[in-house]
Amino acid sequence: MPSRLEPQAMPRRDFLGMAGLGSAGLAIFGSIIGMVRLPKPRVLPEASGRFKIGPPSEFPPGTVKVIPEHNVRIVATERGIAAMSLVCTHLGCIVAEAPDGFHCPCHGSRFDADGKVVGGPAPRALPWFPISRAADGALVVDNSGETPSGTFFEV
Amino acid sequence: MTIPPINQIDHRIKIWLLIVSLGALAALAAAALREEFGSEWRHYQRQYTDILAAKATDEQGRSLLKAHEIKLRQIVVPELGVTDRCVSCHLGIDDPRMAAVSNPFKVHPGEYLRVHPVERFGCTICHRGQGAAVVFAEAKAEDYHWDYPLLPIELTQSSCGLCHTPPEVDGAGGDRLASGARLFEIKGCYSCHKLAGRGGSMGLALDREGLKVKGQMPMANVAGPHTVPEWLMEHFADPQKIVAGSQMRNPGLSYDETRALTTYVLSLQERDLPRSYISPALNALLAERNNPSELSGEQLYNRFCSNCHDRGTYGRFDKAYNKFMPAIRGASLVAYADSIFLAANIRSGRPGTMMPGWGIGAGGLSEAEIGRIISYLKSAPLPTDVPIREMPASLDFSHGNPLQGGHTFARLCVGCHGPGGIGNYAPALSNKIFQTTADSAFIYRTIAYGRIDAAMPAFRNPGRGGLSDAQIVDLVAYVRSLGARGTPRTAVASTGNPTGHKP
Amino acid sequence: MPKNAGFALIWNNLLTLPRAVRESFARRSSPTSDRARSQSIFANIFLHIHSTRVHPQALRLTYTWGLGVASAALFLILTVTGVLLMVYYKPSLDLAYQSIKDIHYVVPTGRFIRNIHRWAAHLMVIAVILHMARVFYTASYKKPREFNWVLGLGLFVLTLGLSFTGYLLPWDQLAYWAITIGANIAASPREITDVMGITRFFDLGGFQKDLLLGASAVGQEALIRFYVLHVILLPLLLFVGVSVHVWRIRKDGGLSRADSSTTSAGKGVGAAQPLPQPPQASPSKTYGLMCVVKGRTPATNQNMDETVPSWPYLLRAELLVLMVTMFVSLVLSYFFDAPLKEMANPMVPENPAKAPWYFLGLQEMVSYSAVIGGIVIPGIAWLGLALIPYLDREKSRVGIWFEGATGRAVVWRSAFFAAIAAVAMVAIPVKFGWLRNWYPQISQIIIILINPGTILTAAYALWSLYVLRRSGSTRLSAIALFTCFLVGFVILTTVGTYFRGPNWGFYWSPSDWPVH
Repeated sequence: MPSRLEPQAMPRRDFLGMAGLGSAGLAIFGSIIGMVRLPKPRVLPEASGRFKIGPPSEFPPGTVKVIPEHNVRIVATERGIAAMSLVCTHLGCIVAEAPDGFHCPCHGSRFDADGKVVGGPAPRALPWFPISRAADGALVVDNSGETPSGTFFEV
Repeated sequence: MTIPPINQIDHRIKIWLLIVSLGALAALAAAALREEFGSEWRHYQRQYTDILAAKATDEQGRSLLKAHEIKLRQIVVPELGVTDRCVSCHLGIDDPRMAAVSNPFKVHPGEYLRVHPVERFGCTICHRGQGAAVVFAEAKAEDYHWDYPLLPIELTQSSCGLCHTPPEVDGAGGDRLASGARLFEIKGCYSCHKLAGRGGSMGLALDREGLKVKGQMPMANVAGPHTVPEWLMEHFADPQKIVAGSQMRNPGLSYDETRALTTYVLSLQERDLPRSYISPALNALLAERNNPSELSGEQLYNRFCSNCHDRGTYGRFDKAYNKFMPAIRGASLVAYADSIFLAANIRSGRPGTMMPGWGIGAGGLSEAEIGRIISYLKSAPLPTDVPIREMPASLDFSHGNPLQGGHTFARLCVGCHGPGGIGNYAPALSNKIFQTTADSAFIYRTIAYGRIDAAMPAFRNPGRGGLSDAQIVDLVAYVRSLGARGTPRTAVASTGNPTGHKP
Repeated sequence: MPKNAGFALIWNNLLTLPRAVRESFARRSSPTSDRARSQSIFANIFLHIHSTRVHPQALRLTYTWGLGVASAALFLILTVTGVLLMVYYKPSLDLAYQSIKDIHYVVPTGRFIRNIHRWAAHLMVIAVILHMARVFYTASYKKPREFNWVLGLGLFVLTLGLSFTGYLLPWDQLAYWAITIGANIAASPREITDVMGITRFFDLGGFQKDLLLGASAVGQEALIRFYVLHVILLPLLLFVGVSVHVWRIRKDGGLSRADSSTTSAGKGVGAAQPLPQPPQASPSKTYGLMCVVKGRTPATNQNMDETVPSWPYLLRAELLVLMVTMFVSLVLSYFFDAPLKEMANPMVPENPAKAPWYFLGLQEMVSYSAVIGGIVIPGIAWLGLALIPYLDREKSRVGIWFEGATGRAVVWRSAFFAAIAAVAMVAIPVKFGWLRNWYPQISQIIIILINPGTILTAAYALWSLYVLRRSGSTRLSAIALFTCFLVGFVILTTVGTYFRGPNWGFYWSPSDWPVH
């Protein structure tokens, strides 16, 4: 009778055992992949990034208007109308307007009037959003897109 | 390394265990005592028991005393999202016998509670403050982390505006709100601020101004407590002191009027209250929003235009804005400009000037209302002593020389109208609305004869340059050339009636 | 048979009922002999996590300061108070804030319980950090305790994670903006992928942020996720981790102790191989696992006279530590209320928006570059700490604080160097600005890579290499590095807590802050 403490050596190629173990491992691994997928949403549960800001006549050149719900700043000049984000590109705080541009309250990033980084940790300029015109003539800002700084929508 | 014998270590541990455990027990006991006996509301409720006992002279008084027990009280109104524990200390609000006692036991003044049963409304819907709190300082929530601290008593009427229209409560406990609403109208606040989509666009829309919180206001220059009501009060007294560089005109209010206007602005909240709470008058007003009641041309003018143009019969230089304010009811403008031109300018504004658009979607005025405003503009009595000059019949604007006109422009016009007509003190000429809606005859007459009672001189007069007809035609051609885009209205104008009201 | 014998029997049983119940519950009566004491540990599922006997050094508070037990005790306090808070807390945007207000104002003992939960959480972070320092400075990570050191570092991260996820739940302004910053730190690898131009294909930062928030901004989704993490997932992981951690203490030979106090078998580790005994055919006797375990075993029964029974000595010492932590939490909670600011308002940014204090050192570095300060440097520091026992394998004086006089000198010098370097790295940008102020057109990648945070980290690494070269000792070098990180952490945390104001500007005191 073999001792319980010194069991027989395992056969070198226990194919059935290996295959069973392997497939069990694979199945568990697969289930983990599946579980990791669950918390990553396929669509984000939030309102569309496109919103109307009113007809162009509300934005004569020289107008500056902040839309706090969307943290977007609309500027109208002779060249047209542009929308710029007021969300700091560093860690998402809302920048405040200052005489020389914009200052971020969280970590002191500074931007000039066009949103270009002039100081602090922000990795990139404040994004500008594309503006288009809806069928009813109203201007539409799309804050899910991005357009190069200095792009004005010509009315 | 020597380690003390185990008994010594253990002895020390025992002693410390005893001390620390007793300490923890003491901390627990202290916390329990504080919670059970230290609370403010228990203190007040015990005091109130004494008051009740003193007043228990009749049968009802005795039964009230008997029914009084010391316990936390609250009013919950789920429809309004209200959970108010104010009544844990304000115990006598509905007891008329409590007229002479001191707060917090005093009866609620006025008739308010009779029409607004506290069970249905709670307290904070009118008074604001932190209803959840059971400590007065935190319920009042001044200098406490709470968005809507207790309203100063003189501004409480603002909350009437949640369910009522201001005129409705005038003389019924809401006088200050009503007078604030009138001031809002009289002082021309609509000229720059929108309510329900109607109004100018220089200032912010004020629909939810009453819901703003401290962090949304620049408090740096506020002298009093840093609250939104205080901000509004000090801002109305001196806009530029509170917001450096503010474009807002000082409304010139007395202290009483300041409070009234603050009350009204605080009432602007656009809250989604249940329909059953909204008074019929406010319901009607809300329903009317898309179909505003008929206002006469004069009323519209007063509400939307008068803040900048004042009576409109004279032009003036506004130091605050560094601009000439055109006399839009002035004799010459009314004589020279046609309705199409005026309507276009009102509808779409004048880019490059401070004049915003007022049409649907911008200032929110309907075409009919714009028409009524124009009629009102033209209703101004024409002065009899000033001749309204007709167009010389034989001018041909198609042959003007813009180059020559440019020289003249540089000599005479650039100072006010800016290089290239981009506008300076005087209106911009290069903007699209002007270029597409002003006809050449209008420009000619404005240049030649100037504006009566306004800064624009008559350039035909020898003293002001003595321009000849040909020179003015060149100048008109130059002004026309300033419109980079859009189709000048010349062609259209020649077939129409250039003078508008004088056929 | 007498008539009343049945009644007498039941009467007698009733009289001895309390004892019978107690014995059935405890499986044993109160121990009187050493053997019985060992038995009482052995035979109890909760106490068996301890060895039956311990060395007296383990009981000396000046050696361990009870920090490990304190951390566990705080975890216990937090679990209990946390479960109580869950009775009233509602993880929904509309109700969360209100439910905290109700806990504060009207729930019986609610305010006190919430205070305890808050302060105990802070205390636990402190205790865990100090525990780590104690283990490090007494060289208790040395073989065979390497894995337990790494496990402890994992528990440290879980502790911070628990604290961070709990931070959002009150749904006030403090919570909202701290978590907004945190979530954007998670998204900060975009800085690197943006520079490389591969964000479109490989957006690690965005993936992490989506996973954390479930949306593009902090909102209901984030609240419920943080709630799940805070009340179930992380506590469960921490519980399992702590169990393994404590179990490994036993298996690795009990608490570390100095050579001078070791048993003849070495540092508390039994080198002898107990002879496996073949089980007898008849199952008349059961065997402990001991008889089949090979290799090292805990030296519980060697040099019996040098050790003392865990019951009651160790248990009493542990009870003392539990009571001390409880006492401190209670006193703090009596005098200081847990903060609660205005309800979260995405339109009104806090200025300054500060993370919980133990992240302010990180926030200080994040204020130079999000990805470097928030992810890369902490990651490197963590990895460095985890690798220490594997890189520093020289035989050390385990159980001696700071390795004696030489080590103490290294600690002092390193602390001095680290303090100077950290202060300089804060002062220079405050006083003179940084690269972007000097060269406005500089490339973003340079800004990201060369900032005060990276320079400080590099300086610390160089310092430890210098110590390595001078002393030739990996242990001293490790001491230098650890001291640098500890001191740097303390200084940056202090600066972030007390000297940063609106726009993360430097102010000597909050009274100098400009009013907004």
